[in-house]
Amino acid sequence: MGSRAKQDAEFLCMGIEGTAEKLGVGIVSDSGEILVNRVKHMKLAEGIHPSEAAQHHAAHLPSLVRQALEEAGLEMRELSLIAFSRGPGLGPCLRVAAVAARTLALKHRLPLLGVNHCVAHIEIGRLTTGAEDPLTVYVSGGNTQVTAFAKGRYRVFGETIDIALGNCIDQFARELGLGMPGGPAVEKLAKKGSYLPLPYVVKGMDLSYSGLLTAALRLAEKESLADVCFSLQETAFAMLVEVAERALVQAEKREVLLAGGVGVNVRLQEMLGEMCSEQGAELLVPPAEVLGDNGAMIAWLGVLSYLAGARQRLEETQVRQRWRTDEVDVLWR
Amino acid sequence: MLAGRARLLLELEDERLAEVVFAAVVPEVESSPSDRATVRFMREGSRVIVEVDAEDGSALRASLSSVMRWVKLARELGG
Repeated sequence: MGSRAKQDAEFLCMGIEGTAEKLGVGIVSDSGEILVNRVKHMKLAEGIHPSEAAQHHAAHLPSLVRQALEEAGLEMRELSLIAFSRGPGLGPCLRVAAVAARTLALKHRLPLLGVNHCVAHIEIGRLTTGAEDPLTVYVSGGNTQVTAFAKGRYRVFGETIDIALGNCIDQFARELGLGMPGGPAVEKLAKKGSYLPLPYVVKGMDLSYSGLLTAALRLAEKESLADVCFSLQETAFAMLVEVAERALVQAEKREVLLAGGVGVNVRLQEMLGEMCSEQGAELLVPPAEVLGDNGAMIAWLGVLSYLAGARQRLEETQVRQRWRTDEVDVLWR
Repeated sequence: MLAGRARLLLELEDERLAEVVFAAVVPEVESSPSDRATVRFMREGSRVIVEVDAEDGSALRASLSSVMRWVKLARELGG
């Protein structure tokens, strides 16, 4: 990453990510080079208040766009496309990113594409790890899904039926005063813990984390925090690995791609890695800066979609809060 | 609770900026779901106009805050 002159005929896309509490602006070329990937984290004392997150994004977007252009050594007129996270996500946050993207596209007379946030996680993972046709395990504060490409779309093989894995861990940590986001604190405490039984809820190919959260909080009233953190991680991750393993066999893939902010958890990587080696598959983990929400992933999906022929008129760029992964036609594969 | 009505006339630097701000914001105004408020968003020359009819003060404030947040952002990025 860094400043460099634009090359002739190079296609450059600016991506704006704003689905939840993180705000990202990235610029990516058609060769897959990430020129810049700036992320502004909103400080959270508790959970995300959608309206406050939207206010945070609106306040910081203009400076983040300026910083991204400066870092890349580019001017707006050198860009070829503006992409933004159209959904799924928190409505007020999505709307701020959409307004910003539309304004930049209109002002600089650039084409505009609203892209799917979950598909962007998959594609930036494929770009940065070299995965060709993986089963993707996407785990974050807002999403938990196991997907694989089949017949023109990323099909959902398994997903949470209530709260996301990251949300389960964050809420647990928050209730116990471990700070936000809770993942790193729980992971650290878990290293010193031993196993205590907790409810393990896999329904068909789907996962349920809400009962596990309640049970873990109750257990924490009488048992050591380290033991509960360890048991929460082991149970929650084992459920996910079970679904991923069955999906891997069913979808007949040879690669497992980890995506989403929870993917930085070393214990989760270990458990998925063990399952992969038993199945003769390879586990691929993208660099931390593109695992969590970021603008480069939106820019890269913008490049892929636009060059494959996707177009949107301005009135077709309204946000979609509940836009499912398997509703997106994957034109570029 | 008391119903609320507001009409804001926002004068922008020039007509081109008003066009950009209007076009960038209007899809959100048209798609924002609210059972308690009706928002109209218009442009006249270099001016954009926001009209809100709300069932109560909270809905009025929420609608105005959203639209003003979008207009302010679009003005800053589009100017």
